[in-house]
Amino acid sequence: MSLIDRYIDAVRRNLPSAQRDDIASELHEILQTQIEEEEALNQRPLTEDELRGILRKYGHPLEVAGRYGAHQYLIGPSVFPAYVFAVRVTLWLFVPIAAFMLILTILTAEANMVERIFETAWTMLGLGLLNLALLTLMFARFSRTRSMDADLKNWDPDEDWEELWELKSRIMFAAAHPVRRGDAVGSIIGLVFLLAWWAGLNAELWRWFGWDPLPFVWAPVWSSVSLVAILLILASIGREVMGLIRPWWTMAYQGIGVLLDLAGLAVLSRLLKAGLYVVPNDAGFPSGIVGLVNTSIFAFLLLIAIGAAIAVVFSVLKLFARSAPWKRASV
Amino acid sequence: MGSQQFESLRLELRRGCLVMAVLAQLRVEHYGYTLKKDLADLGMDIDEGTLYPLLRRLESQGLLSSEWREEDKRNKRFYRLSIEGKKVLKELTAEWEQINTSMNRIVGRSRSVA
Repeated sequence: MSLIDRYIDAVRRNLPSAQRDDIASELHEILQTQIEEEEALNQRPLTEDELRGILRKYGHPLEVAGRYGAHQYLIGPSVFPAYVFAVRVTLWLFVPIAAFMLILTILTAEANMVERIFETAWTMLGLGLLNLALLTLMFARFSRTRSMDADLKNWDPDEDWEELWELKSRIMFAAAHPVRRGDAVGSIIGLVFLLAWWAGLNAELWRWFGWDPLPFVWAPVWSSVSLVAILLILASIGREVMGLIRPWWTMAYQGIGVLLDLAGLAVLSRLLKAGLYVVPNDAGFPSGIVGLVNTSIFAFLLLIAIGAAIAVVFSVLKLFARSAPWKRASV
Repeated sequence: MGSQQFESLRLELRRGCLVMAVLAQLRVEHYGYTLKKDLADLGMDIDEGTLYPLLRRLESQGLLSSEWREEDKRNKRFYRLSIEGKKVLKELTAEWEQINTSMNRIVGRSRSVA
């Protein structure tokens, strides 16, 4: 492969897929024309060094490809303030939780305290970074799929600018607005799916596809919380249906939400304490894999617990945010 | 003022003019190389790294149309102004003339004050 072909290939790999071949062909033509011009001027073929000079002048492959990229940012300028706000809220809620977990570790560790503290700090750091990574991915996706231009055009001059992205202000905004029907429908679909999964849909699907049974079974802790979990899911579906039919009943919606989240946290704490979620069918099954599955489920449950704790804090704050500044201004 | 700062302001000033210069020059069909050469001959030098992505952008905005055609035994991409592009160029030219008149007045007055 020649120097020019290698260069074009390097640019091509980083181009937007829809235009990749077209731009690469044009780039080939541009470089070829330049080379011919130089050769005509010098009346001899160009040396490898001279070719390198042309390519160097044209730019690094990543830089050249970047000039053609329509979307050169991860999170667009119109979504960025909301992203910063979300990161601030996450840190606001996460740091005290992490501190609480560390204090709890210090108070409850009977032996190997330093090791346990490091373990907790490491876990919390990992979860914090995971939260921020998920948030970034979510906003990057949001930035690509939705423009906030419409929101930025339909603004109210009476808005309180100093508090626009302040936590209090945003919470008041959420409290003063009705339940979105789309959100309620989305939640109902999710909850029905969760209910079906809990009632054994996954096992049915497994059988239906004819896959081999898993090498482990669920630990007894799941059946101990099963009835409460099903009741909680049904109650959550009821709450969303209420939000769908009566979107302005925000106080009742938030209040029931707090109660359900607290009950959910109690179930999660019971599960987190168990530590054992699956047991192997066969005693000879590698214990390392079983341990890894149990640890993964624990990390997943911990993440849900943190999310639920954040949801409780938000719901409580919304409950107490009776009036929004722009709502008053518009009256 | 540092030379870097001047360069940044100069590029900012040139950016809009480049779009107009490219649109105006493409009233007659060109392929990239001849377009660059003609613009340079007319005093508007533009490097390839700026010109080709700009052509793509203007085409995606519907202001230019292009086609691959063989010339001198090589495939080349030819660009020309689209109908929409002609309309936009006309409006931009009117705007340019207005800005030019205003700027001459503003810069002329500041010169006389200085």
